[in-house]
Amino acid sequence: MSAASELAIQELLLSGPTREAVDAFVEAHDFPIREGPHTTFVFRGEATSVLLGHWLFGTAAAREMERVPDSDLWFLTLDLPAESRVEYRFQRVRGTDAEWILDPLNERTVRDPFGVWSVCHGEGYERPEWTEDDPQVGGGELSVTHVRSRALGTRPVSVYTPFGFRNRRRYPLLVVLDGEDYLRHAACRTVLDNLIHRREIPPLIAAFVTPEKRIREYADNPAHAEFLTSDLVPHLQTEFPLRRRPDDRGLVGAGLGAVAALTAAWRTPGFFGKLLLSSGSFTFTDAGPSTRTALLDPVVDFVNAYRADPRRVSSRVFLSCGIYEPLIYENRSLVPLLRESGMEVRYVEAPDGHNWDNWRDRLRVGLSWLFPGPLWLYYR
Amino acid sequence: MVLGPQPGRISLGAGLEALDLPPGPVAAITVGWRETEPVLKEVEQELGQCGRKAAPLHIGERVGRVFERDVPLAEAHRALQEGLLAEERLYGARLRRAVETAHEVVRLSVAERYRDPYAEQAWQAILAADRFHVERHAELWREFRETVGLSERPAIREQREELEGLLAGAAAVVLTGGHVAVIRNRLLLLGLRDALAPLPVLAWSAGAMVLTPRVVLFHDRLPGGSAHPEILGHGLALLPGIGLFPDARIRLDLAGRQSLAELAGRVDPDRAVLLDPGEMVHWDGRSWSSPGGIRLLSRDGDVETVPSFVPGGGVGESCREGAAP
Repeated sequence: MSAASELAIQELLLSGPTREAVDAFVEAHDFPIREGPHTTFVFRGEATSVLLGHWLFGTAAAREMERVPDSDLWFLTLDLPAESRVEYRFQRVRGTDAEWILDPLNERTVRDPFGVWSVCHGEGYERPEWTEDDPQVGGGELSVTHVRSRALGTRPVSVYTPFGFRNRRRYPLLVVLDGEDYLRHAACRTVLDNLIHRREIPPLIAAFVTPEKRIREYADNPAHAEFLTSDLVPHLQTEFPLRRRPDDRGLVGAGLGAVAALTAAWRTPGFFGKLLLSSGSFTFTDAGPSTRTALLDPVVDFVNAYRADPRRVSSRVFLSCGIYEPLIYENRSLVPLLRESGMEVRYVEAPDGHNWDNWRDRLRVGLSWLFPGPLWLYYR
Repeated sequence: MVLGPQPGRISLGAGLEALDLPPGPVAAITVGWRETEPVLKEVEQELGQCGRKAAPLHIGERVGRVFERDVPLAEAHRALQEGLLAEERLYGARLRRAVETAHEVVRLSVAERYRDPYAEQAWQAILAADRFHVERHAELWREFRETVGLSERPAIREQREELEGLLAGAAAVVLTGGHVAVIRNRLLLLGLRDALAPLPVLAWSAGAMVLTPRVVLFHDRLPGGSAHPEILGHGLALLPGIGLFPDARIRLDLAGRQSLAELAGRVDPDRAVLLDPGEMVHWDGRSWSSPGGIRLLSRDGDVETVPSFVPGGGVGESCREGAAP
């Protein structure tokens, strides 16, 4: 591990860099430069100033980068915790023009519903192998079923059936909110294939449900809860061989989807025996009105009500949140309340932000805790 | 003969050679594997290379046929499984508290002379939970067998007689790894202990665990968090004096001396035997031995390698793991 004074960028600065030296520096490194806990972000190009924009909650959202004297090279060194993942962009300012751009020196990007981001991996972070396709692993199948709902109209739902599916067996059910995003951005189908293959979770059926008007449906909407419990699950029970105990039924959501999951469970306590809530937008106010958008007022009202009267709504809850996201405070606050209500709670914090890779990377520990597979009983 | 896990390093052929068997086919019990895994084919290939023919017993399919033919038995068996599941949950709850209490007592910074009596009490509570569970588990099976008249049901008798015929004509029997509860369940349902007893056995992992006096479930590295070892129930006790811990390097925290000591204590007076791919231990009717040494857990949580040991008796010259044998 290098001391700060031995960082590559410091050596460049001390050398009194020429244009050739800067060329060689850029040629010689992968960016951002990871040296122990120190990560140096680098941008090369003409600019008045350059800022690093990131999702590290608790620090300035955009931090000014320093120019290597007499050059077009800009840098900023941050200390990132081990195994962390940071998504970022550069803001390049030229005169009165400013634009957010990806890091041209870093090919690693991630796409989420809000766009594409450059990604920096802190020391020790590797994408988990169980999130990657494995040709040795039998893949489950996705099909589409249409669910008629008095509350929400007819909805297409993608249904995952595991490899080796048999109609005469009975399977647990996982309902995944923001389902298309979980499939597209969190590799959820691959994750299920791999975890089932490793016997870390049992073969299960998963229903990927996608909202039409997300904020309206997910912000403590009784119609959405009714859709899940009165329309979707009964429909799936007629179409697929499902176990019917609440403990064989799980509900998964991230961000506002986690709110939708908890509120649905709150409205029908015990219906979903397992909840997986990632980075839930559990906004609340201890006094006075919320500063968040009025669209989220129902969420604030719900969380305030839950905090005043915590109830047991499921048997097990897996809660996770990234330490770099502003919601860490809300999620930490929720943990003792969930436990107080008599639910079994597992809470995990990750050195990551509010993003799909974070939620993907937590699926293994969350799902295998909620739905332990036969690995415990399996001796090869 | 107990072999280490076969995936990773196949030693079935070496085991066969070491047994010096009479001519004849080798019966194969492969129930408990995923349907997707062609384990039977692998066993057949390995036996074939040793000039042996496999006689697959198709235990899983046979049990399926029993349940198709005898629906009341299938329903009673399903009810038994529900009862066993409830029993496991109750045992798990009791055991969890007992283990947590034992660990808390040990952690307290009080003088040993005050702490030790409580530590011993806490330890006995763990063993009591194990004992009660094994008794309850056996009691549920006994109730089931007596209520349905298991051994006299035609569907069971027919399969058992066929299997006894196959086993009687076999030079040995192979039991593969897999789902230990499924293997145990099927063997108990068909009542095959007596038919297996006279035969030389080559077994590994789950297939071997069900032949020991007590089946211990363990895994220190579950992705959802580690769990306390649990006793599944009694085994067929055809392999005396041992508790088996296959894939020890993967499944056990071998640096955790305290938890290893507890594991050894949970199977006492039997010896905890660790097995990894490539290893094998042999029972000659009097003692356990292995040319490469048998890795045993001591009551202090050390891993000792011994050339042989007699159940309930002494061990050959031992050495600690890491030291030269």
